Amino acid sequence: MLKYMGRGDIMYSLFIDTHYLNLVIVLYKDGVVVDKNELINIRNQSEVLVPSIVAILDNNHLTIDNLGELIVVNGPGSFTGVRLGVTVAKTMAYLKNIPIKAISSLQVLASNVDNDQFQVSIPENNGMFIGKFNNDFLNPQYIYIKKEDMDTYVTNNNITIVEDIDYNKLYKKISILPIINPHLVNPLYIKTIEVHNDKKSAN
Amino acid sequence: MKDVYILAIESSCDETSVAIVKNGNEVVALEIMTQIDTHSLYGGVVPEIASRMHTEAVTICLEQLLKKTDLKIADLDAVAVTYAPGLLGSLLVGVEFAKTIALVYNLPLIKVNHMAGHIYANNINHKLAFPLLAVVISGGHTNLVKMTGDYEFEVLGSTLDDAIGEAYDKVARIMGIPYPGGPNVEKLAATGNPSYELPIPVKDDSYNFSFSGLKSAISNLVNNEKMRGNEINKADLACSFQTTATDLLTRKLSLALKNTNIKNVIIAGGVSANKYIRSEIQKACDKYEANLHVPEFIYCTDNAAMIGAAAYPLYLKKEFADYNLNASASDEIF
Repeated sequence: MLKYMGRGDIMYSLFIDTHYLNLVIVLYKDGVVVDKNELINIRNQSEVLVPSIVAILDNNHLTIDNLGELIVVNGPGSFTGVRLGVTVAKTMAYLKNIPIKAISSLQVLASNVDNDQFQVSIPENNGMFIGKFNNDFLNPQYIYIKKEDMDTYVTNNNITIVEDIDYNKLYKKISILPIINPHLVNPLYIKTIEVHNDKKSAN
Repeated sequence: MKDVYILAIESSCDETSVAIVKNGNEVVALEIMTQIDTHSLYGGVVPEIASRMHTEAVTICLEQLLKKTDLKIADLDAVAVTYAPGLLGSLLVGVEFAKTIALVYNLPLIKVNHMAGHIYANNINHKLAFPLLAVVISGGHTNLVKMTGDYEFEVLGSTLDDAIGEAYDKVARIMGIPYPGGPNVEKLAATGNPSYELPIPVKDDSYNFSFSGLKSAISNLVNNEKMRGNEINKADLACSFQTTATDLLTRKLSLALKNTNIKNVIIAGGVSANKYIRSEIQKACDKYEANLHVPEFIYCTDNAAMIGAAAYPLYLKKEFADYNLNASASDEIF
């Protein structure tokens, strides 16, 4: 059974994003950003993720029991990075019966774009992930473009570069996302892994 | 003294496991979700797939565990987790999972080395008696270790190249025996005779081991016979390999029993599930009137109960980890 345990009628939401070499923790109060912990270009996400959650709660005199909602970015991005955020978020949700939602890293970027039709991309070590949007709906088929093909793709397509994310604006997207069973919150993997490719070519 | 209940988590390779262990020697509940069927498709553990499956499994595994006991997480005293050594991506999932449980329930976090886990698997339903000699045999380790007390390790000897479990897997590959190589080589060896002559490794007075020469000899033998158009008797070759490899273990153990006069022996690590190796080590112990203890089969291979057992002495010493704990693929305790 899901329960909301805000302070009175107030709902606190915790947003966790570890999809690439980053760590973003946002605390919302009734859908408005009240605090944010952001670390960029880090390689030790596993060391800083849980301490960052503790810090943002402590700074706001809250405990996990006060959280009424969790939102986790479940990829695409770094396999390990996404797994860390997803593991922590789904475990908190499961243990405390906190409603949990998953959002893709591309949808996070798209929340800042006002056009009807556009593409957003997320850089990665060897290429980038592309998400196509039509009337605000993400085409379910994400695309992965390898580094050597990136220039051609960018020239031939109109790609929107998102510099900063407005997390208040993002909450409008979050508010309409469905609540998921914590056991089923899992990373989105776009790239296939080598053994799968080897197996396919062997077949 | 108050009973201590530890929730333990293990995810260093291809098993997602959680357990509740009382006072380091009584398993209250144990859940193991194995990925072996998936990895069998690829002929070995695929690290990326292992990490993915751990992420999918962790909360389900915990839910299954809690169904087996009346205890609630809030009733427990600590959360223990394997942080090293193993597959980094897999370890990380377990470590973050453990930290989150510790955070939510405000429990102390204990980091446990996987190999200490294999040693302390011998403390389940049994009390470790010191001093002892530990024969550590797994896919990544082959050591002869002297212990004078909890977490007091003195390495007498180690493998100079491959670990014994690794040698079993490599020999299985050379002979075309399917994954998992170790148990399949053992099964096949039981039906054969040691009719092939193989080189005898490490014929000196050290306590060291070496298995790569044995593997190379088998590789050459298989290739030569193939070129000559001769069939290999796989059962006999598996048996010859197992006999020679085990003889090396028992020779070095016997040497240590003789030189140290220690009367307690334990076997630790996944390869301790090998019945032939167990029986040969038993014979060596009998000869020197030493007591041998081997973990029950379920606690020989990777499981969280042994992590809970190994966490108990650390709990008593209050050796707790912080939330910035990281996993390590290679941190060794001995």
